[in-house]
Order: sequence, then structure tokens, then C-alpha cells
Amino acid sequence: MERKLVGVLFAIFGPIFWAVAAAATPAGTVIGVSGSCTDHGHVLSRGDAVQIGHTLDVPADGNLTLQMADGSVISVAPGSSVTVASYSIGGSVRDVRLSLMQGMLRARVTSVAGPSTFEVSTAVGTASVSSNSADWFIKAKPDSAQVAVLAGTVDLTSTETGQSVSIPARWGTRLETGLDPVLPRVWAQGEFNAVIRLTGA
Amino acid sequence: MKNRSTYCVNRRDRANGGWSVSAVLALAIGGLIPSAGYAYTAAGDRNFPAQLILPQIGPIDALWVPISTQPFEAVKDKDPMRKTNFTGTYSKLITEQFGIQLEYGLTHLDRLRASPVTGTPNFHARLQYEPVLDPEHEFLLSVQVDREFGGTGDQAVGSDKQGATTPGVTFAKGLGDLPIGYWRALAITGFAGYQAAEGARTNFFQAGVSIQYSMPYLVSKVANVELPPFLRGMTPMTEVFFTTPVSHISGQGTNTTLVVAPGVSYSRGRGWELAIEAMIPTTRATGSGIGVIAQLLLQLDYLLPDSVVGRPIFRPTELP
Repeated sequence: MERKLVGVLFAIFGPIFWAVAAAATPAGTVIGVSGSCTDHGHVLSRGDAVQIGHTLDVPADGNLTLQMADGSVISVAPGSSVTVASYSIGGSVRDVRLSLMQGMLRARVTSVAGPSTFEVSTAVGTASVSSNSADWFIKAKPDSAQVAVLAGTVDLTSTETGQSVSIPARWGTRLETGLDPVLPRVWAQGEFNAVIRLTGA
Repeated sequence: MKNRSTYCVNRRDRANGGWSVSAVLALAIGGLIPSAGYAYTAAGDRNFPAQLILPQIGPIDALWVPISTQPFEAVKDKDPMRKTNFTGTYSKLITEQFGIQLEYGLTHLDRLRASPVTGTPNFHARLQYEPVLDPEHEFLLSVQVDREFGGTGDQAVGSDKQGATTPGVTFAKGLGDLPIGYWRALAITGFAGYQAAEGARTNFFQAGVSIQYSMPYLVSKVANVELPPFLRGMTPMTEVFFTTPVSHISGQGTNTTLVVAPGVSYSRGRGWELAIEAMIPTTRATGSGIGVIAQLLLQLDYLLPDSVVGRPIFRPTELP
């Protein structure tokens, strides 16, 4: 009788415990911080864990670098606000969804063996890595987004029109509210260096 | 093989009789115009499409292949009735602002009451430097020097023994920074050059403009216009190219050329671009009927971004 009861309780609460444990699994860890960067009001320090669902705010005089659970590194520029909507690493499958409403980040995305989704949504569209790995930048404003790719390939899709462009290494483009993405163009090294400096990476 | 034997026969024919002077002149001048297709570049959010008649407006890593055909008025036997060019140009960036283009091809002539002849035009090498790039105002300006190496082509198809050097300047301006509504999708480009020839060749002044209305710019920078996907990649454009001799050739009268080339370019930003234009001659030396030029351009910097052919040979230092 006792064994049956334990089994029933396990069947009921097991999945809940698993879900809670999964939710509590950190998406990444702070490996670099300057200024008063916060996670839900909590001032971040080096070594702090970042959880799924949390929003990270980087002040105008700050920088934040995260080592993610899959080994990817995300560097957040001053004046940015990033939400880790999803960061799921299961076996060789990756499903990452970040939200960047303002500011800029650099994502150095590692390769995984299996299917991978690594996307950053903004107010005007979504950028998604379409190569195995990538090193790229995305800058978001309420009315526009800009993507530049150092390595790999990233697709940028307009939320409103559904049109997308594919951006290869050393290229970049912009997207404005309610419009198609601008045709990509080659970025000069000076342009890349400027965003590398901003993200402090 | 057929072409080679035909070419040999016609070289002999030419030595024995040759074309009428006006036909030779028309062919030579015609060779100034559509034999070369040119590329594209960008200033800010403005992507200027590849041009087919005018020189490219900036250096780039690309390969483009235009094919053109133009009818000519044949006065006597063996005069060319139609000239068809197939050209390939490889363009390589040496630095981000400085590049070289190498151009070669094939020319096919259909002749009046004579077998056709096929041969090569002279080899061209072109250096181009882009000193002005103003992304905010969608403006760029380049200077270039084109060198035609005389004697590297077949005289049977009108290639000169003497070479020529053409310094020139190109510019492009998008109107996206002006408060003009839907007209912001317009852009203009222009070219002016002076062909200084060697030996008995005539020197020419060359100039041209193009006007283009970019649908990709319209839907990405101006307004969310409901268009079918195919139309979203279209850029209707008209190029006008003009050449006039600076040193007059005795007895030939005027041999100014002016071609008007309306057409359309298509690109969805996927590393290739396709364009086609009609070539409407406005002088006898330009041609006797409407010709056609089509061009495929492969953006090597897009398709092979991690290879040496897809990026400048010398680049500024990249921050870690």
C-alpha cells in the first residue's frame, strides 16, 4: 500500500519537480560585468547565474558578458535590455530565444551537433542564426533593427511583412518598422570595429 | 573549332578587301559601348544595382557576364550586320576601397553575304578607387583608369592593334535622404571619361548617366507597398551612354554615338543579380536597330565570404 502511494505521488509530482528543476537551470553565467547591470533589480556580479525568463538591464556606462549553457558567449552593450525567453539545451538540440527591445548585443554562437534555433527578436523583426555557428551583432531600437555578421549566416525577418534576407559573413543590413529588410551590403572593417568596441567584446 | 577556321578565313578576306570604312568605324565605336557590363555597390542602405552600359560605380569582389547583340547597317559585302559580345569580368578588391577588374571575352560578327566570324576583343584591365563614400546621403564617387591592351584581340572582329587608356570618374547618388515621398526610391549614377588612344586610333570623350527606381529600396525604406515577391526585387533603370571623338578623323563625318538603354535589374540580396536592357541606338555609328544586353552578376563577397576571392586582399586590422 505504501509503495503504491509513493508511486502515485511520484507520478503526480515528479513532472512538476522536473519542470521546476529545468526552469531553475541557469541559462548562463556572468563572466564579465562593468557598471550596475541588473537582473530583475538584482545587481549582477561575476559568477552570478542568469535564469530563463529573466530580463537583464545594462546601464549606459556598463557592459555585460555571459557564458551560456551551450558555450555560446553573449556580450551586451551599454544601454541594452535583454530577456532570455528560452534557452533550452537538450542533448544535441538547441532552442534559444532572446528578446532585445533596445540596445545591442554580440552573440558568439557555438556549433551543436543537432538541430539548432538561436534567434533574437526585436520590436520590428527577428534575427535567426542559419549556420552551425556564428559571430554576429544585433542592434535594436523601438523602430528599427540592425544586424551585422562577422562569421556564419543570419536571417533577418520582418515581423510585419514576413520578408527576410540572409546575411553572410562580413555583411550587414537594417530593418525598419513595417517594412522589408534592406538588401544586405558589405560592412567595412571600421564598422565592425565600432560595434566590437561597443559590446566590449 | 568552327569559329577558329571561320576566323582564319575571314582574316584573309579582310586583308584582300575588308569592310567599308564606315562599317569598321561603326564597329570600333560600337565596341566602346556595350561590350563591357559593369557591377554595383552600396552607400548606406542604398544598393545600386549592376549597370550594363556604364562603368561600375565602385570596386567590388564579383564576377559578371554580360551578353549583348546589336544590329549594324551593312553597306557592302562582308560588312558586319550584327555584333554579339560575350564578356566576362572578374573584379577583385585589393583593399576595401581599391580594386582591379580584368575583362576578356568573345565577339561574334554576322556579315553581309559572308560567313560569320568569331574572335576576341582586346583585353582590358581597370583600376578603381573609391575616395568618397557618404552613407548618410547615399552618395559615392570613384575614380578609375581603364587600360585596353592593343593587339590582344582579333582584328577580324574589330579589335585594334593599338591600345588605349581611359581615366574616368563615376558617381552614384540615391535620393533617399530627400523629403520627396515615393521618389526617394530614385537614384542617379553618372560617368565621364577620356579615352586616350595610341597610334592612329581616335581619342574619345565618354559620358553617361543612369536613372533607376529601386523597388527593394521602396519596400524597405519608403513604404510597405503591396507587391508580388517578384516585383519586390525589381529595379527599372535607363542608362544613356555617349561617346564623341575628340580628334576628328578626316572624311568620316560625325561618328558620335548615343545609346539609350531602358531595362530592369532583379536582385533579392541572395548573391546574384540579373539584368536585361534594350539598346536603342540614336546614331548610325551606334547601330541600326534595337539591340539587347543581359547580364548575370555573382557577388563573390556574398557567396564566398570566407575565401580570398570574397574579401579584400589587404584589410584593416580586426579587433578581437
